[in-house]
Amino acid sequence: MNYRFEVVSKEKYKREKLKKSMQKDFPKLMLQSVLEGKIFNIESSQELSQKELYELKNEILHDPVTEYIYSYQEESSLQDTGYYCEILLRPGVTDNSGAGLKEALKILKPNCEFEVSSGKLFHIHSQDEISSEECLEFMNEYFGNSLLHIINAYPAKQYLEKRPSLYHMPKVEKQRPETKFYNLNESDSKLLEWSKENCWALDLTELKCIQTYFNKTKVLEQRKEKSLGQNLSDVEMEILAQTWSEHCKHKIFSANIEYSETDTGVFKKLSNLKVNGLFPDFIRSTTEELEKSGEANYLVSVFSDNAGIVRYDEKMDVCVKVETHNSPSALDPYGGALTGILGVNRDILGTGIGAKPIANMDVFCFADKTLADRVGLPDRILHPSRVLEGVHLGVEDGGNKSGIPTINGSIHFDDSYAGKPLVYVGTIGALPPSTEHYPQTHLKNQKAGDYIVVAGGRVGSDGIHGATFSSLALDENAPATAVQIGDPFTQKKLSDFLLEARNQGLYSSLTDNGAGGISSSVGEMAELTGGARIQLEKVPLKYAGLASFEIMISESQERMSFSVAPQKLESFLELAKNFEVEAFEIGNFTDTGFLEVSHDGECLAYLDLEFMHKGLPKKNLKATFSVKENPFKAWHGKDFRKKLPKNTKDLFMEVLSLPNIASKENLVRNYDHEVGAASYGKPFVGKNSDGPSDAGVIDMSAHGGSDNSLLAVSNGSQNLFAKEDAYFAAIASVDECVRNLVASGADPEKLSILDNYCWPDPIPSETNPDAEHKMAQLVRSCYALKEIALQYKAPLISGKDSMKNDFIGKHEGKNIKISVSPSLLVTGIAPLKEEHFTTTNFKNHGDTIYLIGNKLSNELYAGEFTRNFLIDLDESIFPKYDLEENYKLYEDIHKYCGKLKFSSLHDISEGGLFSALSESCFGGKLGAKLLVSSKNLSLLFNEGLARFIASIPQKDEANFENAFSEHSFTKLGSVSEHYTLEFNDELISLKDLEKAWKESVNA
Amino acid sequence: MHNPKVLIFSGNGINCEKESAQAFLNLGAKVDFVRLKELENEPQMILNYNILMFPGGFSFGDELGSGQIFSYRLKKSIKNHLKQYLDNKGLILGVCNGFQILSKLGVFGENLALSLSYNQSGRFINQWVNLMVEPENRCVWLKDIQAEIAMPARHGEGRFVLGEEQNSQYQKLFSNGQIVFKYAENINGSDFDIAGICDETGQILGLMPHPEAALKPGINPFNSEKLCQQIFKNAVEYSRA
Repeated sequence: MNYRFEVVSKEKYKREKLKKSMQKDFPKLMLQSVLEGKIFNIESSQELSQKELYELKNEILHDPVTEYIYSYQEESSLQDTGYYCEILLRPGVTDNSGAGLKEALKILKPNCEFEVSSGKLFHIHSQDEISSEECLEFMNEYFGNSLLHIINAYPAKQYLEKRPSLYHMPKVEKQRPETKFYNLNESDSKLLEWSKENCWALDLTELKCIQTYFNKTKVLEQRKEKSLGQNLSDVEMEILAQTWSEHCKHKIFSANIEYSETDTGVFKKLSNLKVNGLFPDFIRSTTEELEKSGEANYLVSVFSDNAGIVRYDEKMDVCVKVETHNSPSALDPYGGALTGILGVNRDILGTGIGAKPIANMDVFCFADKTLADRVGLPDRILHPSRVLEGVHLGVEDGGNKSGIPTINGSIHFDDSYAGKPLVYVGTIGALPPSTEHYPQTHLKNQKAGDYIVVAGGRVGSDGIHGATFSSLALDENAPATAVQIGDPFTQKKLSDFLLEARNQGLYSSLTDNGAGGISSSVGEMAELTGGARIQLEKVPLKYAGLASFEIMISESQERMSFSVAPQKLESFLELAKNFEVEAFEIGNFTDTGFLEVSHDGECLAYLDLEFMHKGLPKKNLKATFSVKENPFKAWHGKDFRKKLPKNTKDLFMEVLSLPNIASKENLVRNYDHEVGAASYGKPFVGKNSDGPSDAGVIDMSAHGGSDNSLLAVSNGSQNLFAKEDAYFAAIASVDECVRNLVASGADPEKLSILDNYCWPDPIPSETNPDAEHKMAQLVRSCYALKEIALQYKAPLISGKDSMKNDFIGKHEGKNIKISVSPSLLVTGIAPLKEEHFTTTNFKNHGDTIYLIGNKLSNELYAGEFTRNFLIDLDESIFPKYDLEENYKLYEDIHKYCGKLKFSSLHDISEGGLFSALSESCFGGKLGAKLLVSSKNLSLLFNEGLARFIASIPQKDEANFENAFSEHSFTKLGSVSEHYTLEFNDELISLKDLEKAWKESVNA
Repeated sequence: MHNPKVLIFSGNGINCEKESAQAFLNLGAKVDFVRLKELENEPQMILNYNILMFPGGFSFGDELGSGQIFSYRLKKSIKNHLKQYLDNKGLILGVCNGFQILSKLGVFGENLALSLSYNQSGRFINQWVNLMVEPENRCVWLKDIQAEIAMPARHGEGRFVLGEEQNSQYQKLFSNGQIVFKYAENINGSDFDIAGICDETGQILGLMPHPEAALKPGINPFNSEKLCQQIFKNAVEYSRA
């Protein structure tokens, strides 16, 4: 039997709200009313009784207090004017509401089979006549995503007539394709054609390397035993393509690079360099040097697992990982961000023997919402507001529904992010150093003979070659593979199960299934035992018809791979059942040296692990730096800097409402930042909790750590400097991250940092003539990263790179390319004690305000201020700095936090001293009486390294000045009870400034 | 004097079970966790406990409306044992998603048309709120608490809605002493500013904000930790008596 139900809200305010927000984006539609409802389609193997139907409608599908429900057989009181639009799911798209409904149906009628599909219903009533096409276009733009949805629009009368017959049940209808075989002894052009056609993304050198290997007599003999010939199956080619992908093997970070400089202008000269891999030379070596010199004796596991592990407390280790999900978020902001955050949570769950995710963080880089009005959107580019709303909601749902607090983050705006938004998502995990069953939890213990078990979601064709799929046409019955919707509920169940299975010692090892699916997860785990055998017919599928290679590389979400000893298998599977988690045994780990894959008894892949993991040839790349050739000029060729307002107050209000400076509080409050009751330092602090804090601070004792053990988490990213010099940008980013930690009271002697690179493509091609410059900027950035990390004694414990952040398309009929500003996100953690914890808001009227650090007031430096106002600067001057002195200052600040204490301490970054000072006032709802002039632009707006706004009790002045006698500081004035900034020449109301700061991005 | 036994729901998307357990453990109570499926196999187990708690979270992802599926499954399993549980002086606390589950279960009054619907802003919000305790409430959990209490609210569907005949429904709840908490500043558009209510016996408390997340001085920036602790203490002492 087929059933269809419509559920619509009774509540008026909901319609009004939707109408308002739609009207804002589509002013040409004169909306009279908008109604949003839900559609449920149900197919049942048996007819439902009247009683069951009643229960279904009133206790499962709708809330009688706030909603109406209509069954397809009944009359409805739906209006007969305007338009109705259905938004239905394409076949194979994750349907979370449908899955929820199925859970209830199992109880309603236990022995009945159900299929369900959910959708949305909109009723739009416009004052003007609109056509169905207009309505459809509008729905497409506003609510739908053609990759995921089927959208139908009907004039109201027609809809009401058709209602009884609009039942929709998307089903993937697919025949399992035959396995293809490739003889690689073909022409170069044929090889490249295959690579492109199949999205292998392998270049000619790599293809030739595979060709040579499979022509070896020894290899041929080995294959013969498995009834495989010289030709490689598509399963084998796909496994190699995944394993050798930039994503998995970081080919650019391991490449040999020749770096040279022709003209460095005012920027740092590095001279010519030969780099034998950016990762080994600059990143791994930094950590090794610090470990060797004894400066980082808290490292447990770095660069070898899903996340870095450090030990600040003998009772609890900390794991950290930060990922990016840029391409998926460009296609579908919500789904991309949601799968991003759930994916990095799984990285933590798969670290060591399984850590518990305890906090999330997120950093986004977008174009700001005015882009469309200023320059018009390039073709195929989503409106920046849609991107922000979608990504923000994805991270919100991902964290909130998983019960993981989102404790730290930032949003950066620049037009260079219009083509590819950057979405960084990170997670902190807690891992006890040892448990009853695992004496060393950071080690993985899979053994030959252990079963391979996959638990979590089923496999569909989601995310197969996801990123490249968008260019292909979708037909009606094709599963939507490009975009994936995450399912936080399934993952939460999986994570509850995993931690209980860990407590009971039911598995010997695990890892997450992310990019490359089983091929990567099992492929990596097999390295330790020396082999694996997978039987594809055992892998649970969402629907029949997947090709063998698709099962192998599908990136279907919410899955983890486990190794389970034979005597534990039964208990493992039993526990999964109790947790309502699906788990299936799909093969064994072996010690044969080979990854062997069969489907229904036929061997389809037999790959030597040695070749799989170590056979990839190294790339050789060139890097040339010259300031004369800067590819990072604005892609639209326009200059939007404003004239400097004459009036001081106007200027201040404009500065505080700049998107990179304005408050993001409304967005942040949508994230649950306190679940777990361990958020010691919250994102907003002060009297009314509206002053921004510098770092998230976690109470580790709530997660099993020792009493009085806190952990601060912060980010730094000063990427707009990188358009000119990525060397300085890296120094500024690390410093920002570290000074945020120090400002919160964290211990600078126990820093751990992570690097996440999001770069424009540095590989030369016809469409990428500036590759050598971009590569040079990458070398400069890594070089600087090492320099400052060594100076700050901050080991790098994990990192990731995303190297193709460009958009090639059309804007107003012209071909354009938008490359992101070279972006490095630095994430840092450091421990602290409760007594060191410091917040940013002014506390007491009468306290003395100091600027700690260099005054920087002689000339105006490049920064957020000069990027937005027309100031005569002959050339960019970046602030001078002394890293050794900075680090000493951080140590002294930490000492002071422990002894005399600051009333408040706030780091100075975008918008300079003025912004930081204003924020300390906003948080404290107190003013400042200042000894300086409101006209001193360089003093107020310069941004430098290692600078803070501090306030201390007046009586401590002598002690303070004594404690910081070896550093620069300037007395700025005192905290005042009047809510004003009182300069020596002007008085400005803070109320108006606060309004400007709060209403720009939030509204 | 025995130590009360507390049964706390976990699994199926619930995510505040740990800090909820801590609130009772701090007071010497004995805490067990239970998953819906275990309870469905043995629903009468609730009779072995003094206190039942439904913590916050997103049960079944809240996909069909907050708490909808969880409460449907409870209706099919433990509902028949609830009367006996309450007759035995058993107490129940539902926080956030737990409150949503309890209200859909109908424990606050058979004919009460009550729902917790989307916040007026349409968005999830995490913000500390001040709650005013209704002086005339009959709730066991609020004994001797007569102050304003600060605690964090963290919900997308927390707007307390009384269906048709709002005023008479409110009057009934009020005269029964069932209104327990009101928001000092109504953050979600709740009818009559209501943040929490109790059932007709006073033994079942449901509220949207999270007292269990406000128990530690460093975590609580508004110095209300003792008052929040008192809520749990009242329950433990009532069960000990």
